[in-house]
Amino acid sequence: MKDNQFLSVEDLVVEYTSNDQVIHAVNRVSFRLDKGQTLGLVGETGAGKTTIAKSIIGILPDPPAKVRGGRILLEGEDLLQLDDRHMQKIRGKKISMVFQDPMTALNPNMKVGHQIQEVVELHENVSRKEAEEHAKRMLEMVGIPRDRFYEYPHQFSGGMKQRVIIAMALACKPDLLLADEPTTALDVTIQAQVLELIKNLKVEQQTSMILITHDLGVVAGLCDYVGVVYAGEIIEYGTLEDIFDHPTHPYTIGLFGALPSMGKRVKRLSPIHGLPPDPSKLPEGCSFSPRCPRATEACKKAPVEMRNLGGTHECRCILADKPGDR
Amino acid sequence: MEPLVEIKGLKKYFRTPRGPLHAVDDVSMRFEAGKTMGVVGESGCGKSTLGRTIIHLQEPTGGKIFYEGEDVTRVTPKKLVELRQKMQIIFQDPYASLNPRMTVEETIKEPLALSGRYQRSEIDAQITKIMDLVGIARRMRMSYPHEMDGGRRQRVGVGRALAMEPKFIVCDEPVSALDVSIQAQVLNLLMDLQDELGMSYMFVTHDMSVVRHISHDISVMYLGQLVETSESEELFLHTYHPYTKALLSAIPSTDIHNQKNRIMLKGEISSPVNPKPGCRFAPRCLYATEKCLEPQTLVEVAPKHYVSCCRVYELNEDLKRGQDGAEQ
Amino acid sequence: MLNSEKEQQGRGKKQSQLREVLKRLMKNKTAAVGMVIFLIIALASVLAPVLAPYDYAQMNLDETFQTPSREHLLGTDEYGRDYLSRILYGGRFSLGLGLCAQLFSLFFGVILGCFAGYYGGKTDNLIMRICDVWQSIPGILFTIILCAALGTGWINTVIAMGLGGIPGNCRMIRAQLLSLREREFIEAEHAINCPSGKIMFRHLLPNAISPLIVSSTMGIGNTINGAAGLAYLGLGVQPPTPEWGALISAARAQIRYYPYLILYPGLMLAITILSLNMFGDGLRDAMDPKLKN
Repeated sequence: MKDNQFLSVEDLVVEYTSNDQVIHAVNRVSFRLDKGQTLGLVGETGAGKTTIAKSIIGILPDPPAKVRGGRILLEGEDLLQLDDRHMQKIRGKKISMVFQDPMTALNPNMKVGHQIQEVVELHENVSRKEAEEHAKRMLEMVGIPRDRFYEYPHQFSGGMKQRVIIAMALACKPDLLLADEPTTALDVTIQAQVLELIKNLKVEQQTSMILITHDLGVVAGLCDYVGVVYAGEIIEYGTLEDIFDHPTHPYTIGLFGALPSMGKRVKRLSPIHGLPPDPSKLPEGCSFSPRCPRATEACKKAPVEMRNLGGTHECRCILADKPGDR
Repeated sequence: MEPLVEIKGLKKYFRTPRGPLHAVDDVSMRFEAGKTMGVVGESGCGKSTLGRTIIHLQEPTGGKIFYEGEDVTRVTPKKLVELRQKMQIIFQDPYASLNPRMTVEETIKEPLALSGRYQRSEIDAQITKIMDLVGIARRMRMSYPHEMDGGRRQRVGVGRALAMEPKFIVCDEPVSALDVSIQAQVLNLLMDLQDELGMSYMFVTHDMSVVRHISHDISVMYLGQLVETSESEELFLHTYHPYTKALLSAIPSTDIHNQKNRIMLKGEISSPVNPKPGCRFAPRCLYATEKCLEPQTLVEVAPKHYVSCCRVYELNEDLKRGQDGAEQ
Repeated sequence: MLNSEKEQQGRGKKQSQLREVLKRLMKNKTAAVGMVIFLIIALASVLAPVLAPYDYAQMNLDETFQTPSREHLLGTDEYGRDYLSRILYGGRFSLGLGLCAQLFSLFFGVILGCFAGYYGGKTDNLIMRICDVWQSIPGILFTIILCAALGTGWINTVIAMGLGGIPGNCRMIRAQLLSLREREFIEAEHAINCPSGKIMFRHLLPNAISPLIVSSTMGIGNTINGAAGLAYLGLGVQPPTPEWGALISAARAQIRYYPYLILYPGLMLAITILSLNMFGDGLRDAMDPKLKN
C-alpha cells in the first residue's frame, strides 16, 4: 500500500512449544501504524497481546517461543531479519516498552536516577554529566522532582515507579512506545494521572504507541486505532469510532455487553458464555465459533479471513457484511 | 427495620515499628438483610480489613459489631464457631484462596463436614447441590485448582462459602482478578444467588462500575475512614464528597464522544501510620482549607446520604439551597 | 445414571498428583537413572539374606585376605569372612541408618516447625532460640558428643545423627508456614471453623513439605556418610556389624596390601550418595508447583 509506512506487521505467527505441545500464541496478525498515532490492542488474558509486543521489540524468550512467519517492518526494515547487535541498538533507542508491573520492573539495588541515566549512556553519545542532566530532566518531565534522582525504588510509591519507568522508556525519544497494561496495577485516581501523562508526552514527543490493555475505557481515552485480539488473532480492527460505535464481531459486541456500564444500569450483564479456546487446540474454523451465539456450520469449517467493511474497518467474521446485523 | 449486621465506630489498628497503622478508623455501617452494601476505595483504604474484622478474622481494636441486634464484638470461642456459620467470605484471588492440593469435592466438603449439620450420607448429595448452584459442571468434581480457570475457581470459592449457609457474605474484590467476560458471569452468579437465597453482601471493590451494578447501598472509604455513604442511585446522581467526585471522574469511560473532564488529584494516598487529626483527604483535596485540619463528622445531607466533609454545603450549590430551606 | 457415570470418571483422577510427580520425574533422565540405581542398591540390601552366599559374620581363618575368586566374588577380609556378603548386609545397616535418622529428624523437625510457624509469637521465639543454641554447636562435634554419651550401636547412631538434623528441618518448615499461613485459603479455613490442628497438618503441611522431602532425600546420603565417619572414628556402629563405614574403618590397617577392602565399600558409599543426589535434584524439579501451572 504505502511504502513509507512507519510500522507494519504482516502475517505474524508466533508459537510456543511446551511439553511437546505447540501453543499457537499469535496467528496471522497484521496491522499498520502511522507516525504519532496510537493503536490499542484489546483482549483478555492469554489472547496473545503481550506476545505481539514482545515480538516487535525482539524480546521473546526463545525457546520456548519462536516466530514462525511474517514480517515486522519498521520504516521499511524487517526487524525479524536483524541480528542481535542491530536489535540491541534499536531496542531502547527506536522502540521501547513499558511493562505492567511497576513493582518488579526496576532494579531495587540501583538509584532510580542512575537507571534512567544508564539507558541514556547506552544509546546516546553523551558524557556522564550530560546523561545525568538528561535523566534529571526526564524525571521532571514525568512529574517527579529532580532531587529524587538519588533515591531507591522502594522509596517510591507504585504510581511514582510507573512514572520512572515511563521516563526510562522515553529517555531516548523512541519513535515507538509499546505500553503493556501500563496502568493495570495502579489505583484509579493514579491511573488517571499516568494516562494523562502518557497522553501529553505522546503529543509532545510525537511518539507512536501501541497500547495493550484489557480495559476498553483506557482505549477510548487514548487510542486512534483499535485491534481486538482473540485467541492470537486480530478479529476486528478499525478506528476508535469504527469499533466503539459500530462493533461488528460478536466477540467485540460481547465484550461491550459484559462490561458493567457507568451510564445506564442494567438488571443483568450479558456475559460471553464459555471460555477462550485452548491455544494448543484451536478450533478449525473461526476461533470464536464455540462461544458465538450466532455461529453457523459454515463458521466451523474453515478459518475466516479479514473482511473490509469500508474504510479501515475490518472484521474476521463471515456474517459481518450481512445487512441489519448491527 | 433492624439491620442484619451493624458496626458502630469500628476501629482496627495494626502495630508497626513507626506507630499504630490506622487501617480502619471509626467506621459505622448498617447491612440490611438481603441487600448489598458496596464498599469502594483505593488500595490501602482499609476496605478489606474492615470486611475481615466484621467476620472476626481479625480482632477489632475498638467499636462494636452487632449481629441481629446482639453485640458480638467480643465472643467466646464457642459463640465464634456459631457466628462464623452465619458470616462468610469470598476472596479476591481465586489462585491463592483455594488449597492447591484439594479437589473441588474436598474443598466444598470440608465446611459441610465441619458444620455438623449433615449426616455423612447426606454430604455427597449436598456437594452436588452446591456445585449445581454455583454452576460447576459435575465432571469437575475431582479437579484440582490448577486444572481450572479463574472463573471456575472463583465459583468453587463461592461454593465453599455457601456450604456454611451464611446470611452475610463479605465479597472481597471477587471479580477484580477475572477477565471482563468471566467477571460478568461471576457477578450474575452472585446476584442470582442473592435473589434465590436472600443473603446480605458486603461487596468490597475498587471498581466503581462493578459496585454500581451490584449494590443497593454504597460506602466510599479513604484511608480507613468513611467519606460518603448513600443509596446506590442517589450516590451516582448526587455526589458530594470531593474524593468521591474525583474517583468517579477518574474511571476511564467507554463513551468516546463524551470524554468527560477528569478531576486530576494531586499526589498520592498518604500513610495510614499515625495519621493527623482532620480530614485525611485534605492533602490531595482541591478545596482543602484550614477548617479541614479539624476532625470531621458524617453529616446527613439528604435522606440516608451521609458525607464527611466540612465544606460540603459550600461546595455543592444544590445542597446549599436545601439547607437554607431547612433552616427557615 | 449418566451423572453417576461421570462422577465415577471424575473419581479416577484423584491420585493424579502423585502420578504427575512420578511422570515428570521419569522424564528427567538423570533423576530416573539415580532412582533406578538407588532402588537396585536398596533391593540388594533388603534381599541380602537371599543374595548373600555366606553369613556375614562367619569366620574362616584358613581363607583370610583372599583375592576375588569364584567362591568369594569380592574376596575375604582379615578373618576370612566373605566380603560380598558383608557389603550386602552392610547396605542394610547403612541405608537403614540413613533412612531412619532422616525420618527421625524429619518427624520432630516438622512438629516443632509447625508449632513455631503456625502459632508464631512466644511459641515461635522459644522454639527458634532452642534451635539457635542447638545449631551453635558444630554438627560433627554434637554428633560425636552424643555418640560418646549414648554409647555405640546402631540405634544410638540413628538418634545421634537424627538429632543433629532437627533444627534445620524445623527452620525450613517454619519459614514455609510463615508465608503460607497468610495465604487466603488458610484464612478461608479459619472462616469455616477448621480446628487449628487440622489447619496445621492437613492444609499447611502438605503445601510446605515438598522442599523438605527433597532435602531429606539428599540428606540420606549425608547421614550415611556421617555415620561412616563416626564408624571410622570408632564411635558409630561397631564390628562385626558390617556397616559400610565400619568396613572402611576396619580395612584401613590393610590399605597398603589389600586396597580393595576399602575400595568396595567406599565405592558403594559413593554410588549410593551420588544416586540419591541425582534423584533428589530431579525430585525438586518434579515437585516444584510453579512448573505445574
